[in-house]
This record gives sequence, C-alpha cells and structure tokens, in this order.
Amino acid sequence: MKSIIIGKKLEEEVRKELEEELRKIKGFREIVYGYMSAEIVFEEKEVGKCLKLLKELDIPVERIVRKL
Amino acid sequence: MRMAYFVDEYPPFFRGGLGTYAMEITRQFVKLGHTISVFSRNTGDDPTRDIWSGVEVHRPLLASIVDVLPIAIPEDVKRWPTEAQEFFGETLLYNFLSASKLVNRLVAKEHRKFDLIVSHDWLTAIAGIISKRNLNLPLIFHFHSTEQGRMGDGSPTIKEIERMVALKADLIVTVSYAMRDELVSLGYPEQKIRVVYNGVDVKKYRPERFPPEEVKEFRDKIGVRNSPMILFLGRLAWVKGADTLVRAMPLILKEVPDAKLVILGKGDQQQLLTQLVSSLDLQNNVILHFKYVSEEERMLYYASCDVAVFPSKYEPFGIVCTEAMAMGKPVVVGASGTSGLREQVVPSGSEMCGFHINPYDPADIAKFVIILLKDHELRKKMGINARKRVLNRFTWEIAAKNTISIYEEVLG
Repeated sequence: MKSIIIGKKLEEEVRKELEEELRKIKGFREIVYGYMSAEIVFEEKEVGKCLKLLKELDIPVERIVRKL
Repeated sequence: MRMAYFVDEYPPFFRGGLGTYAMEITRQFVKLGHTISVFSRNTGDDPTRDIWSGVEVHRPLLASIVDVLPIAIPEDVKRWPTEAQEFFGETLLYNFLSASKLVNRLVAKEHRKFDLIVSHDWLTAIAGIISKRNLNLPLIFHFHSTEQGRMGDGSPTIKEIERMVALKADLIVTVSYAMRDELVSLGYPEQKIRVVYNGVDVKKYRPERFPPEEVKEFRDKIGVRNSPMILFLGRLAWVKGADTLVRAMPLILKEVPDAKLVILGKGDQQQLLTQLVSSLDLQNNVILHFKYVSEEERMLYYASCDVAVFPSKYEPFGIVCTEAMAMGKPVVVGASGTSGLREQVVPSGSEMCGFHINPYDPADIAKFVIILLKDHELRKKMGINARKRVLNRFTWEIAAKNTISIYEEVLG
C-alpha cells in the first residue's frame, strides 16, 4: 500500500478533475482530504502514473509513504 | 568527509521516521561541507541516480524475486505474511545491489573515493557489512530501534543480522541513553556505543508559525472549537499507546467535561480505537483522523492543541514529542522501559516542560493531563521551557555536529 501526500489545499474544481483521472489508474483506492493537504491511497506498488498525472495537473507531491 | 550512506528510506519516499531523519541529517552534513552518496530502496519506478537537495541518491532497480523466495529466505521469515516475506526478499536484493553498485561501479569504475560507510538499522546492515569487507573502510552502524524492542521478541533472523553488523561495525550510534542501555542489556559492546539525539527543524516548528485566527479556524473545522484539546499524533500501534489514552478519557472528562482528544495517524489499531470510542461512549469527545497529512498540516495540529500526549511503551527517541515541544506545547509522555521521551522531557524543577507517566495506566495518564488542562499558567510555562529545551538540545544542527564528531573518531 502506498500513500501519496499532497501538501496543498485543493480547490473543488481541481478535486473533481483529479478524482476523475485517478479512477482511471489501476490500483487507486481512495483520496482522503485534510485541511490543507490530501492523501491518495494506492494498492499497487507502482505509482508512476499517478505521479505523472499530478505533475500534469501541477499538484505538488510532498512525500510518498509505503506501508506493509 | 566522503560517506557511502545506506538508508532504506529517503525522500520523497518514506515509510516511517527514518526517512525524515535521513533527509534532515544529510542536509546538515552537506551544509557542513561533507559529501554523501545515499543508497536507498527503489520503490518501483524511481530514478536510479538522482540529486535531492545536494545529496547524490542511488536507488538500484529491483526485480521480482517472488518465485525464488522459498529458497532465498530463512525458515522463520517463511512464517511471516506473504507481503512481509516479499519485503524481506526485496530488502536482501536492495542490500546486495546497493553494495555492488558502490563497490563495482562507483569505486572500481568511476574511481570515486570514500572515507566511511554508514548504515541504518537491519534494513541496510547487510549492504554495510559487504561494503566494509570489499572496500576495507570503517563502518558506522546506527540503531534507531532493535528487533527485540519493536516486536517484543521478534525474528531470530533479524536479530542475527543486528548482532552481526554490531560485531563488524567500528562504532555504533544510537538515539538515546535508554537505547544504549537496551543495547548493552542485549549484549552489545558498551565501549562501541555512542549516543546522538535526533533533532527537529526549529525554523519550521515554531510556536508563532500560525496566526491565532488560522488556529481558531482549524479548531472549528475539526470540531474542537473552544474546548481544551489533547493531541495524540503517531502510528496507531500498540506500542504507541493511543488506546490507553482513549481509556484515560472517561477519567479526564470527570474533571474536564468539555475536553476533546484528537488522534491523528494510521495503523493497525484503527478498528480497535473506533470500537473503544463507541463502547466508552466518547463520540463527542474523541476525534479520530485516520490519515496522513502534510507536514504543514501536522504543525497546525500541534499549534491547535493545549497538551500533546505520547504514552509510548517503547520509544527509542520519539520525534513527535520533540516537534510538539518545538511548537511550544507541554507534553505528557510514557516513561517506562526503553524511553527516549524520558530524556527529552524534564518533569520537575525550573526547566520542567512536561510530565512522565506510566504508559500502561490510564489513571496515571489522566492525572497529569488533568493537571495541565486545569492550569493555563503551568501550560504556558512548560510550553516556553519545552521550546527552550529543544533549541538547546534537539536541533538538527546539533545532531549533525555530534554525529560528525563520532564519525571522525573512527577516522583517527
């Protein structure tokens, strides 16, 4: 399981677009919003597609957490 | 000094606190003029050679070894859950490939020079041992925790890896005197062990980071509002004691009826905590946030609380406590067994900045949380002292300088 931590508050419009695109990526499980951050949870080890998408959407990744 | 630095986690990839440690300490090493080549785990498709904040990072690509696991892993590891077995196998591969890249590529082909090999915890111990053997360089091994301490008893294989690296290492560095005592009690040679405390970035973690209106807005948003707020932040595992803190809440509420406990973190106790809150009828007083948040948001949690509680049963150092103290918060910490928290927190005298409690006893936790929640002046005084203590003892600058002076010992 991997979590990608986004260190930025996402506007409603960006959230919608991001969620829509994330659903197309294999292994995407959920996105959990914080007050000024978000956590994207993946079941897959590989998160390259998601990182590419976040780059395209200009959303900064703070860190990637891997949990067994 | 030129270091070959083996550490399993390195930014932007984290699994726990070791990644934060490695990021902060290597940044300081670079500031002090040292050269570091980090060898870290490739989590899938990461670049194999990269520069991160001035640090060269190598992440050899791994391949799936699932099919050969039965012949590649020891008997006790075969009893682990499948995913953990795979992780162990990957760890071996990462160690072999990293050591091989250092020895055969960087040193033999690129003629790079190194003065020292550093490795952290069992996860990179094998790479350290192999590199020392092949390059004939001093090896420093950092114990951030032990298998015995983490798991109660734990895996004989991992304990054997720890024993072997401790034997081969020229010096052992650990994070608290409590850890040193634990290592000595496990039979490690005392004369080889040095202690360097971890640190915190005091420019980031500071009491005035957020304006009061932002703190108020956040407290409203998470449902604390004007109530006294108790914060637990960390991995939700038995050793961290969030469940014991929840069990202390009924006692706290008898004296401070409007107190709210906020728990931020993830882990295998999530279901247990949800059940506890429900069975103790604490839905209005315990706020469960099972998620990872950004560092900035984590700081906002600290800024918003009145007291931070870390009732750990095993804590080699406890960086969350240092962060809370740097944010000017009084702390209540577990202080039995191996507890670096006990060394961080002064519980009496003019420099007192928190309380020590028995992490197994909800009544003991409640007693000291109540004292703090009822005394605004005491909280203020302890918060100021906590910040002072961090500035004097627990910064990354201090940690880096102390670490380097130990590394210099082996270079003569």
